[in-house]
Amino acid sequence: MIAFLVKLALTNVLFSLVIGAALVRLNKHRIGSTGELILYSLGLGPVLTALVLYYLLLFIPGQAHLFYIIGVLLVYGLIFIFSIKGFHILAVRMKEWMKSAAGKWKEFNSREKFKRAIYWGFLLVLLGSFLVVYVGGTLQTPIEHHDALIYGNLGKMYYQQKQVTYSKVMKPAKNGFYFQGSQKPSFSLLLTWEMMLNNEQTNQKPYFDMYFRSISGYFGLLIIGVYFYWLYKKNKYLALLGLPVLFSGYRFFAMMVNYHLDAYRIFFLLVSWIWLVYTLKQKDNFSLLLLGVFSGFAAFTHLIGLAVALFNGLALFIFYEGDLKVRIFKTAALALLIIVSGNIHYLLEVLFGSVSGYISYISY
Amino acid sequence: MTGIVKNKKHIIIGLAVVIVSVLVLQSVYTIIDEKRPGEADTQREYLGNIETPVKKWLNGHFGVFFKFKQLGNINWLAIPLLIWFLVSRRTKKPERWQMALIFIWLMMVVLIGIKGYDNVRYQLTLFPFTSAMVLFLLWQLLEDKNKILKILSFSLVALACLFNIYHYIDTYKFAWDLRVSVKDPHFPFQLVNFLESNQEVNYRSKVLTINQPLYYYHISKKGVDYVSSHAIGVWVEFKKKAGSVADRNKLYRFLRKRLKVNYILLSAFHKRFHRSTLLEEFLHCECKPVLKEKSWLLYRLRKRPLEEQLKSSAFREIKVWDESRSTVQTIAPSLLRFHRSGIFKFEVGKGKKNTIIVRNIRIKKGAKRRIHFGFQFNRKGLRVDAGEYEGKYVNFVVRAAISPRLVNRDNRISIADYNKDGTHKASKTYFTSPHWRTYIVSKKVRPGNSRVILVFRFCPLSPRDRLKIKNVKIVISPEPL
Repeated sequence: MIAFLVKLALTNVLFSLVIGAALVRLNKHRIGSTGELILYSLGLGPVLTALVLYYLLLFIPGQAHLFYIIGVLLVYGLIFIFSIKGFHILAVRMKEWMKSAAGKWKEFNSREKFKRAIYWGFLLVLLGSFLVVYVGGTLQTPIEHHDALIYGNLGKMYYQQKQVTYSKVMKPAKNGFYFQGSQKPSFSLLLTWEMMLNNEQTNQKPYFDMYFRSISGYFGLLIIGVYFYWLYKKNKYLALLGLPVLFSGYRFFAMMVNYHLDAYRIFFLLVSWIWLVYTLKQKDNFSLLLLGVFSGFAAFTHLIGLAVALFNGLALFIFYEGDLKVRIFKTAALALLIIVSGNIHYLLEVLFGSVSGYISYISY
Repeated sequence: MTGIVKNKKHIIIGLAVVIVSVLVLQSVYTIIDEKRPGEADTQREYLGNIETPVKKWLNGHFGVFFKFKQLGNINWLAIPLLIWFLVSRRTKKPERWQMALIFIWLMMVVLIGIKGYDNVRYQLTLFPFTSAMVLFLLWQLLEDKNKILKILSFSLVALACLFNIYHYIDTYKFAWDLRVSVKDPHFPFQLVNFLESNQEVNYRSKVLTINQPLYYYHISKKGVDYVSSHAIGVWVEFKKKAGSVADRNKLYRFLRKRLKVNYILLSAFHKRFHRSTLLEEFLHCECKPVLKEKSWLLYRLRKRPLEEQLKSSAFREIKVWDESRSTVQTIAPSLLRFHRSGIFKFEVGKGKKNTIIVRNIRIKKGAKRRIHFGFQFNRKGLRVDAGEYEGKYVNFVVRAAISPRLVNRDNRISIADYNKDGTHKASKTYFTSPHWRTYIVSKKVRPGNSRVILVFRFCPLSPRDRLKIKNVKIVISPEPL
């Protein structure tokens, strides 16, 4: 459990905050609020780790596991150097926010204070109960779902082979595992990362993949967070109504408690649409950067994400206000960002083939 | 005065909206909750809950809006609200970013409606966005309305959501027990432990996995994947129609000798969709079930192919079936009718001499059609020395085909031995396919029994239903077949 919490804190919290602080520094025009930016950043730590690992395994294969860990830490170290100023800005803004929140709180009458305390207290109890039940119950069971196991096996394969390969010849893994499908590497690489952080003995034990298993719950909470944030902007009770709306879909509930990549992939495409709106409204490069990054990560995670990335590019080209030259330039920049953020996987698959079969799904 | 008139108008419109919504919800629930007695033909239909044409549209192509069970019951409101948003004179001309979002959303609805309609996971992609869109548009629609109307409208939305949860509460409870309280986790602990710790599973006695990534993830031994280049030939054969004994033997040898496979691991789900293929016949005839846990099935290949085993000296066949004859009485002279409800006809298939077809021709109104028929030792010419089979196994090997809708737990084949006090113990197997299949039932005969019967239980639903049997064998052996 402690190892799991360390991996979660490192990858999902620390790495994400480093990226978040870097984004705060880059966000000179203050597009969106700082809290909003940090909320989106909380999803970036895991996926950027997967992307760095992907590039390392692709370009420098066959090294010791420690090499890849150091490689990832180095990348975050560099981002951290850039984000030191961002952390400073973040601290200042947090101080400002706390000051203003405290001031507002003083202005409220006791009835309003009571209402707010009940409102936030209720949400905290909900979140706390979920975490207790999720960590104590759900997370204690091994993966049994077919698709999640496929991703898991690919992650194990990357870990054992220490490389991401593209080949027209499809061979089974050393243990005989073989699958023809269109699985993207991002989700699997989170298990690879976890296994690299584990010691060899832990990788033989049933809880070796607890961090990998927690991804659906973590990103499910982030989706709820984004949903809640935007509804709250309209009305706080509308935001509260959002919860039964989401859970009235059984599949959303199942997504939170099943080990799968659905929450992981949906988060990125959802946030990519938010940055599409900012890009079209603000016409700034920071929004375009995040549109590209989130679209790329959506594609890096799932084939539907690829479709979303393509539609985002198309939408930017059609609806961006400006002459044709500007639109072409912006769309090309977006395409480049999408490719760098993981879409390169598809290009390599087209050029060199895939060990798991490119979109050649066999019906069984 | 105008205020009162306006309020009245609003109340009437509001009531009309509520009534229309309730009617839409009611009719959609009726259709999507419909359970067909027949089974889904394909895996896609089964998983997507789209086995009828109307369900295919509501749960499938338009599942983003109407798949209430999985995605809630308010998404369909996106259609009228979006139309209102685009055509109403009250709203401003949509901005570019709004048009962009609508464009992407529509593209995704079309893409998922065409390509991913049978997979709820793909439909889920749009659920958070669509439901948020409904809430935002509804908010905009009611923006300049009074507070009470707003509260009332959103309360109705909340009520609809809560109703949907209540309506499908069993599904939530099931998932809760499975994944949250973990009362009944869906994981085959026993199976994984067996495969991991069993010394017999090794590199010379491998497991053929039929779409079982579980094996490679949780077990540290090498396996043979069913679609890998080594085994694809086996899978191609398995997918063909159930073939002859020679086909089974060829596959048996290939698995055993070339691939060094001794076990087959699959899930009941995959077996279900291979009822008409050689796979099921192979599992019935050439394998023995080792473990069944949750939905996972583990089979072990027989030490020798079935036909070889039947011919060995340890096995003694009691002849009850004469293929060369042409009437029921001469093909199976010892065949008995034990109990029946209704009049049943036994006849020989036209042009298929060795096949006996059983069907119901008359029944009293309200009575259930049912017949038990088969063989009993030491009755109707079936002479078997009682002392000889005590403590040994009686095996009933039968080729049978039954009407598709009778593949259920009412229809079966069994062997039972009775004590003198009238109590009995039975082994049984159920018909699993409407196609010709070999069924094997084995039962150890207890000492001191008063009678042994080998029975077909056939419960047709109408005179059109048939049970066809052929090549019936009764074999006595020292071990179960």
